[in-house]
Amino acid sequence: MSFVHAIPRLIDSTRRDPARTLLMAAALLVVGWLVLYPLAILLLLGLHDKAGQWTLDNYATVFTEPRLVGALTNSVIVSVATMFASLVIALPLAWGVARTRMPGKAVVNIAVTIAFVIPNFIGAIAWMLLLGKNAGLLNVLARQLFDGFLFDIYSIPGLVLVLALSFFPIIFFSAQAALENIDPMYEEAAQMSGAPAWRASLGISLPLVLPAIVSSSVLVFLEAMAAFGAPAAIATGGNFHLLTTELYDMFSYPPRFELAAAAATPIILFTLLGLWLQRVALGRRRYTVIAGKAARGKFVDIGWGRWVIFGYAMVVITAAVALPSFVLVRASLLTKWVRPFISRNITLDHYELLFNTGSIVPTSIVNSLITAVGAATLACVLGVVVVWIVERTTLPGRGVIAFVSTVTFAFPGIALAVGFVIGYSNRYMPLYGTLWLFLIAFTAQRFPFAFMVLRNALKQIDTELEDAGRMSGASWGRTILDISMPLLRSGLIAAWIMVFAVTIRELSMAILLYVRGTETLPVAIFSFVDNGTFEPAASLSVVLVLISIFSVLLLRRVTGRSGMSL
Amino acid sequence: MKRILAALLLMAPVAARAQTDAELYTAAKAEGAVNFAGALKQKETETVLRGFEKQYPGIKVSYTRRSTEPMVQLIEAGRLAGRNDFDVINLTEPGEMVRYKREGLLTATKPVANEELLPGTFDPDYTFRSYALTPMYGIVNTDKVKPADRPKALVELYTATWKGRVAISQPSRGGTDSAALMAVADAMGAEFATRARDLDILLTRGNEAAISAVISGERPVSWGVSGYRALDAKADGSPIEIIFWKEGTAISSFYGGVMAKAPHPNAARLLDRWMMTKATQEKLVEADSIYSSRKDIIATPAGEPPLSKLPLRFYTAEEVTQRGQALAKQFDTALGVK
Repeated sequence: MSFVHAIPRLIDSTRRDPARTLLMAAALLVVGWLVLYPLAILLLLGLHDKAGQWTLDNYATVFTEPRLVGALTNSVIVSVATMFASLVIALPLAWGVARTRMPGKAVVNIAVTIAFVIPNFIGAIAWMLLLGKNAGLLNVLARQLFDGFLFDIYSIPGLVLVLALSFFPIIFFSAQAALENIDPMYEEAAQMSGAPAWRASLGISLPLVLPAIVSSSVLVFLEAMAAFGAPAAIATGGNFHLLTTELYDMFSYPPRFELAAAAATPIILFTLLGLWLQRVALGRRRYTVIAGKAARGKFVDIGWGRWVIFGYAMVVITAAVALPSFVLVRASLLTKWVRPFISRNITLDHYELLFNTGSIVPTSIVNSLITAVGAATLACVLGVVVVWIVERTTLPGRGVIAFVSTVTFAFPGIALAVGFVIGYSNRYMPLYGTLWLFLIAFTAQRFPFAFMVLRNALKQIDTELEDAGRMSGASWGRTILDISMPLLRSGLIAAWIMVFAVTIRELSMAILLYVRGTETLPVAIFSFVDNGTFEPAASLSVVLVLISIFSVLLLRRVTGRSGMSL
Repeated sequence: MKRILAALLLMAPVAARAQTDAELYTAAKAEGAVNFAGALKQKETETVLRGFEKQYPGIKVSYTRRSTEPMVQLIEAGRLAGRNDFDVINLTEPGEMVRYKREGLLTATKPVANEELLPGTFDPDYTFRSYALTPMYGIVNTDKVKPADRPKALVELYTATWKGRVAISQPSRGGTDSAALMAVADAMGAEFATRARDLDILLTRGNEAAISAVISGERPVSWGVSGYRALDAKADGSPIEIIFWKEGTAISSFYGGVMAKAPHPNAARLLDRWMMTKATQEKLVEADSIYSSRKDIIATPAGEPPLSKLPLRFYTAEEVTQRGQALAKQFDTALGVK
């Protein structure tokens, strides 16, 4: 539909339902402003030299400087490998939890949630202690057993391992939620046609949840592109760089903001590529699985296979959760992390910081909660409206809206923060140095999570229910509130939790945005690590993880869901 | 004529030093506060700074501690926002101090005559000077390497014995690390980079990670880490020992200076002056495990020898910025960092 033809329809639509049009326009304006304003500042910054003169030199450098080209290539390799490794880890788990009678589902759900909220640099530290070439525990064991070593964590495969163990929950949550929403009648039909139970489930369910798998895989790819913590710990030791570590280095000795802005901008192309891949993979197929008829929960009987999946889940949980958690908790309880774990070295002193009003810790916890809850809520509210526009209207330019809604996903936080610092330091918007800027910046950076999860959820809801509501005389708003929202609840909860979890651990933007008094919990953790005191950093990391888990559990209780599945 | 004017302008702030402590205090007291941002250790430095508040009632000192890289980011974020919250800064990166001087971010002050300071620890134009010194010590894991086998000279590290056993903070990341590399280059000569390729050196992001790698035994030796951090780790019971290299150990400075647009300019000058007094320097040496740049201070970190007894390599801020970074690039290329 051309833009010209769309105008009369828009006018007509506005006349019939002005509140709807107004709400949509407001949401689009807010999201557009949140996302495009800082990006435009960065784009302009990249087009100027230090003296403020227009130039294309920064962009030319990005595509000709061998070190930057090499870093970009490494980033793509690592991100693609992480995406496939995450699929291998997540899909059997999601299918096992959602569609089979495997034991320990609640444990798996809680563990995957913990894996999701543990910052990837913590996982990196744990794996460095386990798979360091010389002193890694597993390598030492291997050397004793067969005079060789297993694996060098300081390598591209090592980094992929750490990132996949950190990001696989994104695919897990998405695939699990989609699998749980599938009506079992499809599988029953396949079984009645003679297909074995497991084959019917895999053959029918997996294609049906393809949108969820593709969307979340793209998220993992982009998340890996934007990752900094684990790459910073591992890549330098492996003598390679990623785009994010290169970008970070551009912010010091001396800072080259113009080049950093130019180097970060091409990442937008990867977001475009991701959206295109989604479109190609999904084509014009429909994946409606929530229709007017209620879905009945039914599990596939795979016999002893459920124990195989359970064993697999335990291996994943050990690697992704137990080991990093052990490293964290152990360090947080020791007077010095290098000392043996015996009674005289054990202390709770590092947890006293939580109540020490003379330190930045109590304030940083409050700041983190305010900004994470605020950003998650704002992103979800905006997300519902924007997703609705993209999926349920014929508004021209919906592809552009979808792009704008996901463009910040892979954008390195530290680069994006520059756009916010410059953009919100003028006399009209003097927000630099306030928590408001954190709220705005975090919402903009994490909005893609809300958008993609909600979009995926909405794709699965048949429009027949909404049509029925409208034909019965309900207004657009009433239809959304009474019919769509309850059906979207699972997706909404998943989106809120995701945004909350990734926001509360956000460091890359916060490190440039904070001033005295606006420190967040990750900034406090970073400060302790920076001071060379790993033990209080570990205790605060434990607190960060516990807050995330507690929030997830609380939300589930409030919303009346007994399970942990997202 | 322009040069003379420029020189006069440069010296104008220095002329303000003619104020007596009492005059400066009166003006500073009216400002009521001073914001100090530095790389010196948090708790210990704050304890020392309480002495300033005691000596000059009515002026509250706020100390923001970051290691140099995030501190520079913090300062630069403020600059992007068109504001500066700090009065006095203190960085271990000589290149940044040189740049800040060039960009007019720092103002000249003369808390102490340069002649009273050790060589290479000050800016000849009085824009910055070293508030503290720390050697870039070698360290060795005492659990993994027997006393008899421990290296004593930098050249020993270039032998097969130490292949796959050395960890360092990547020299191209900053001046302290490139100063340590300069000492290696001076000891090894032109082959320092090409021969390093065969050593399977573990590069880390920052000194803390290099020290951790040595403590954990992942690599049992490092040719240069921040001395005060190494001393702290040793005091905490970590299995490491300090090495004073035969060829000389590089010295790293905590350069300090007053911001040109300090929100509290008089309090900033007063603090700068106070930081370089003999009494404060002695307290810092004791509290922060560092050495003083003042020639007349003989105090040393607990149990450590005086600098005069050690083979040292002093490099000026300009040297580290120019030659140090060039060597670091050469080193990265030789190691095939991609």
